[in-house]
Amino acid sequence: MTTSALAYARWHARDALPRALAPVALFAAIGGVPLWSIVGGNGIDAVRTDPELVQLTLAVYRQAMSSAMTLGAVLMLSGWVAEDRDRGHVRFLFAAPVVAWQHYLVRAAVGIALFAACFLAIPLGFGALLTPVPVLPVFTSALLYAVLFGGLALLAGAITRRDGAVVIVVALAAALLQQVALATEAPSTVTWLAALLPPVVPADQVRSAWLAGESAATGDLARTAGYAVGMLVAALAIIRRAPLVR
Amino acid sequence: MRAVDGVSFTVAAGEVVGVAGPNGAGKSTLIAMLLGLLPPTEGAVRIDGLAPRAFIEREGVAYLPELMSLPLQWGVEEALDRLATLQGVPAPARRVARDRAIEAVGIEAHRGKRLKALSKGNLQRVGLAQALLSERRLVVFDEPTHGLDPVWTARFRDIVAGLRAPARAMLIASHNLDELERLCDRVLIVDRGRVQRVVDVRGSAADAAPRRWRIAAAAGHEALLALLPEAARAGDAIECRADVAALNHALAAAIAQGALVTGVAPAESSLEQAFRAAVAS
Repeated sequence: MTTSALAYARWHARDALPRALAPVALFAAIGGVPLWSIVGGNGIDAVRTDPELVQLTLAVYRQAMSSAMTLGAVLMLSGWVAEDRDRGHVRFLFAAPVVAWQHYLVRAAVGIALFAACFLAIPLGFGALLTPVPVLPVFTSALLYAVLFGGLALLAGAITRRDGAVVIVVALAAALLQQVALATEAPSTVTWLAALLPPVVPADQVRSAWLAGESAATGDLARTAGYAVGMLVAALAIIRRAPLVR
Repeated sequence: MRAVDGVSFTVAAGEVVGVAGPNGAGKSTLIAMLLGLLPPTEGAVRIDGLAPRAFIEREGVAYLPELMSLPLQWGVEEALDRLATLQGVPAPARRVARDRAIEAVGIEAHRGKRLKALSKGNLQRVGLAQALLSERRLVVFDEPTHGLDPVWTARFRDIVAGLRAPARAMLIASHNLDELERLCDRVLIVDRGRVQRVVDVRGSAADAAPRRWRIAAAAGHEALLALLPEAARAGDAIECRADVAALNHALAAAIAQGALVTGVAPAESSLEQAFRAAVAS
């Protein structure tokens, strides 16, 4: 790894920071109103101590946190490569003695780390204000989501000009087909396509298990992690080999 | 469709080589290949024996692209700090390198501004500043005076003259033939994806060839018309075609017959002639 690629990490962090707030904003947007009304109607002490209200706020928390994680991963973890190419930044960036794939690996690592850090802040903040909740399962789930969707975004950016749109379309298609494949006797084409696309539903199942305090199915975890790392490696290999301008 | 085809040239250390050509001639593609941003479909580009990306990843290149395509929300100092970081300038030396580059291109008054607040000319100066952040063995400027006012165009020439070094190779692509003639040792004329001609624009070689001259005189126009080779009136002046020796010989004869010569200048540079011939052929 070149030192300049590593030294630039602080600038990557600065670029990623506004987007890094997206999951927190999403959590607040989705869970804020219901939590506010529960607290407003019952008082903060009751919400902290009444078992029924604790369960109610935890249900809102889980729903808002899961939605923020999914939407945040889809919305936040993109624009790493395609933007630089489209806007011609690569001409300046890669006149410097820096290896392109290492530059984007550091960029992806910083984006993934910031995304996961948000999901440290959300349970810690929720716990401090209302009811203590486990932090580690949320953090590890966020890390898994970040690597999965970050890998997809990096791969889409290495191949296409519209990585954000590609991530949304692929994620939606994968979720739909994988749910159909799970729920019904689906035609073999659907099953085949569902298996080929990024494992969105298996990732969701891993997260659900972890958040419920259970162990995730090894197959789901291995498939999600393997697919995610595979996409990252493929993206970096393409960045290394393919022309930096189109 | 091929943007460039069968192009072959070498730039030696210590040399400044220009690339001239009409729009769409293939200059930008050539530079993109030189920087390793685009691979050639056939043949090879080598810098110091290495593939372009391998060379640039090892030691970088001072490069000013035609368009200033940095994110416009960046500040001037921030942009230079970022690029100095990428260029491997050690942290303690970054501020010094940045301030020196800012001073060299005269943008001290704009250092606190965002790039989007700068004029086209000042943006170009920021582009030039980032190319001056590090000492590089290879310098590539693509339309470097694009958007610069005449004062800064002249200042740019001084900067390029200052960059000349025995170990440094420089390539300058420009539409401005006058600029290339002043700055370069040789100029490649590129058209339709090929190097049509290589013109040596160093003084001695240019002077040996016949060229068109424009002569201004206060008196003795008839003598000048009679004595200068291929002479004709061009407005108030007289134009002729001669090499330097023949021109001086004819001028001396005309002055002896009472001509008062007030000015002698090339009517068209040798590069312009070569460019016209290469592009027309």
